[in-house]
Amino acid sequence: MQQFLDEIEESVPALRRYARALTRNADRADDLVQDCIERAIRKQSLWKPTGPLKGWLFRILLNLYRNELRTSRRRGDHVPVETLLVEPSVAPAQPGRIALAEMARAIDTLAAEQREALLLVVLEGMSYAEAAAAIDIPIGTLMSRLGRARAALRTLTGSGDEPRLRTVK
Amino acid sequence: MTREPFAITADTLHAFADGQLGEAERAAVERYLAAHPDAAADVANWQRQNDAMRALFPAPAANEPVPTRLSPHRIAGDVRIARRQSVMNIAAAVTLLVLGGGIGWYGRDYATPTKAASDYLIEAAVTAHSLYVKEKTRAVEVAADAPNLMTWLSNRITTPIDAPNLTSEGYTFLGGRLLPSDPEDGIPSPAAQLMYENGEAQRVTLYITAALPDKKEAWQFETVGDVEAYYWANNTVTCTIVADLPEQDLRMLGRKVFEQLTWRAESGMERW
Repeated sequence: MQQFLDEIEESVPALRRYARALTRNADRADDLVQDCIERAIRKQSLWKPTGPLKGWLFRILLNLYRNELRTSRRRGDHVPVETLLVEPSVAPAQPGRIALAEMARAIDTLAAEQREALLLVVLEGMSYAEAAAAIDIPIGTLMSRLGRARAALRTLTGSGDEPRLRTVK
Repeated sequence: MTREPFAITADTLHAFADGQLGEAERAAVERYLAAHPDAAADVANWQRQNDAMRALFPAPAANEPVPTRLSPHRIAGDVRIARRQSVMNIAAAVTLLVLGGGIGWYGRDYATPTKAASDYLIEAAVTAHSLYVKEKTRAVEVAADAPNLMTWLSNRITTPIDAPNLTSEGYTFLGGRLLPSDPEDGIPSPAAQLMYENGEAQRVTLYITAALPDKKEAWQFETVGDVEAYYWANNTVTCTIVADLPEQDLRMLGRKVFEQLTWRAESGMERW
């Protein structure tokens, strides 16, 4: 039990980061993480130590997040205009860099399933196989969500308009 | 031009942008990108997106204290205490059920008279679901491994049922309970509630009764509060699946449940 709890503890920072990216709200994120840990402890017997504990924790976190999303959508709660954790105050210095505020807005407009997949891969540095297992989808589905998310972000941030070199035949 | 030992697909390019390739593959992709400016522009854009996302949602600083409420050791202590109190929670749940029954009884004149029996069934299924899935350790009256559980329930609801096997969907059968129903709502028999749970603590309940008097085949999908209910009836049985799942998943689960219930009901008919 102690070892199990220690292992959960090691994943807490990663869970918080992902939860913050999903919810855009530090308090809600911590609520989610707390629920997630509690569930993992209650359901310890259901965890099959064949895969990494971290993947299982992310799966629980995602389920809780989706449940919460469904509940609030149905109740028609007013979710405050997203509380950005980082408010970029200056325009990007280098051309070609993507403005953070613009990026934040773009991420918001992604389909939920694309956002979940992209953030998991990018923020957690999970391998595609781990990420697919955590979201509970086949790896091919993960890749297509990733592809669509990136294409959408490119359009939304207008960063696809940079001049391109064309090969002339 | 060198031929690469493996095909470079869009997936390979994503893996390159995400730093998920080995040494040899990475070098091959670099050669490929040098010859394909369009692909190189895509990859460069994805990497800028990655940088922007990491900057937006930075990893918690190493020295940032984690709130004590997120300590697994502390939460484990809370869970131990909560388990001790769960007996008291059951008493509270029973009180609620009795209270709810009373309100339902005296309030029945106010109910709209056009309500179909299936609406009552869905409502009852959702109420029972919400009440019992919250129970951590006493979610079911009779555990799945109890002898004759399904025979007993079949007898009481007056139609033969087996607990559908949902292990292929990741759900384990926890057990069941018998629930009363109101003949005035057009529901002739009591109901059996079967509960399932998956590895991520998601619970699904089936609310099963004998066929309604009309014995008609019917389907109904409804969102009630924060759960989804999937109702199905044929000439032997009605079943309402209640879960907090996306509609698509619930329909998939429904197919499994209905196949097995139909098969059991039909094969059990002669014997009955």
